Amino acid sequence: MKDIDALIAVRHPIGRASGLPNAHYMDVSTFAEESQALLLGQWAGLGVAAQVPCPGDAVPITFAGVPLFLLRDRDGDVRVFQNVCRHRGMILVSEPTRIEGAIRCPYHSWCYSTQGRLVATPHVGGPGRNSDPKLDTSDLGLIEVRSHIWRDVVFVNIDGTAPPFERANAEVIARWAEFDAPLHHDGRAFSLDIACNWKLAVENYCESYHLPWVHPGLNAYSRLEDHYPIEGRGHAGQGTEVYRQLTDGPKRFPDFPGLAPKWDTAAEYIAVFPNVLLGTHRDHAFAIVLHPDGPSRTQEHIHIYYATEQAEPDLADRNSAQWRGVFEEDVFVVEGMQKGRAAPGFDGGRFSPAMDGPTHAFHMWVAQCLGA
Amino acid sequence: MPWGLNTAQTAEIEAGLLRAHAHGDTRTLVSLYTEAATEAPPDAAAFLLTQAWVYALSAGDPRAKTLSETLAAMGRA
Ligand code: FES
Ligand SMILES: [Fe+2]
Repeated sequence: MKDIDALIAVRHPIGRASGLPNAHYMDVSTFAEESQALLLGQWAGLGVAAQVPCPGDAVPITFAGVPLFLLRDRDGDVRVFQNVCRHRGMILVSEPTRIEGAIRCPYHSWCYSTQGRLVATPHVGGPGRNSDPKLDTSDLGLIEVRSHIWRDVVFVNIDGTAPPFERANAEVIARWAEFDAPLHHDGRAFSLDIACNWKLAVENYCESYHLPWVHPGLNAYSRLEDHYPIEGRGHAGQGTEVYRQLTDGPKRFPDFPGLAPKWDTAAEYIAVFPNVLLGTHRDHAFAIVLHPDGPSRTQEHIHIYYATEQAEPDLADRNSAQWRGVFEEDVFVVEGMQKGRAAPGFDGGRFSPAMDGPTHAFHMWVAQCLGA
Repeated sequence: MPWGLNTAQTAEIEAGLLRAHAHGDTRTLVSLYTEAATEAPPDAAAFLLTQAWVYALSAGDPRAKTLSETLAAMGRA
C-alpha cells in the first residue's frame, strides 16, 4: 500500500527528495494501485498503428491486465476495443489475425462489425431464431476504448477520465511540432523481455548521467557535456547536440522535411509518461512501448521509423542493430536496480540535483498521480 | 442427423461440413449449410441458413446479404 509520507518526500526539492520506496517496484497491491492511477487513468501507449497495416488487421494486447485488441476497421481507422464478447464474456481475438468480414465470437458466434456494432446473434431466440423480443441487443456493441495516435503510437485512456490527448500532451507535441511528418515503419520491430518494474525503464531512459559508464560506445562521440535535460508537463528526457548520422559511403537516410538547422546535429529522447519512450533525429525516429507485466517484469517493444518508405536496407539493418545494442546495454542496470530494491534499507535513494532532474520529474509525476 | 434429414446426400453434406469445420474452410461451410437447407423442413432450414449466414458474415462473403434477406423473409431475422 502507498505510504503518503514517502510520496510527499518524493516531491521535495530535488536535493532533499527521496525516490519512490521499494514497494513501488515489488509490491503487488501497490502495483495494482499504480496500474489504476498511472496506466488506466492516463494516456498510455498500447502499440503502434503499423502493427495493423490493413483493414481488418487485429492484434490482441493485454495491457495492465486488461484484455484489449487493436484493430484497423473497414474504413481504415485504427480502433481499440476491450477484447470481450457482450454475451458471456468470451475473449474475441486470441491471436493476431485479419478479419475478413465480421468479428465472430468463437463461443456462440455473436458477430460484431469492425466498427464494433453487434450485427448477429444467431439462434438467440432459439434454433434458427436470430433475435428475441425479450432481449434488447441495441446497446450491446463492443466496448471501445478511447484512443489517439501520435507519432504512430496508439495511446489509450482505458478508464476514460483523462483530459483529451492533445491537451494532456500539448507541451511535448509543440516541442516536436517540426517532426510532424509521416513516419515509415522499418518492418524490423523487436522486443526485449526484462526482469524489472516498468518505471525503472522510464527512469533509466530519461537521464544521460549513465551514458559514459553504460554506453561507452555512444559516448565515444557524445560526451556528457553535449547532453541537456528535458522536463515538461507529462514528459522528461534528454537531448544531445552531437548526433551523427549513420553513413555508408555517400549513402545516408533522407531527412525529415523542413527541420531547423539545429537538428543537423541534435537529437532528443523523451519519455512520454507513463510508458512511451520516444527518440527523434533528423533522419529517423523510434518509439518504445513498455508493457508492464506484474511488478517486476516488463516487455519493451521497439519500433524504428524513417522519413521515406524504403529506407536503405543495409543501413537500416545497421541502425536497428546499433539501437538494439544500446537498449541491451541498459538491461543489466534496470534489472540490477530491480534486485537492489529487495534491500530493506533502501529508502528510494537520492537524486543528483545536476544530473537527475528528469528522473526526479518522473517520480514527482508518479507521486502526484497517486495523490501526494 | 441433428436437423432431421435423411438420404445419402445428407450424409455426404454432413461429412463435407465436418471436413470444412476441421479446416476452417468458411466458404465451403456457407455453401454446404445453404445446400443442406434446401431439403430441410422450415425450422431446420432456418437453423441451417443461420449457420450459413454467420459464416458468410464472418468471412465477408457477399452471400451474407442474401442469406440475411432470406432469413428475414422467413421471420427469423
Ligand atoms: S460468449 Fe460470445 S457469443 Fe456467447
Ligand atoms: Fe541507456
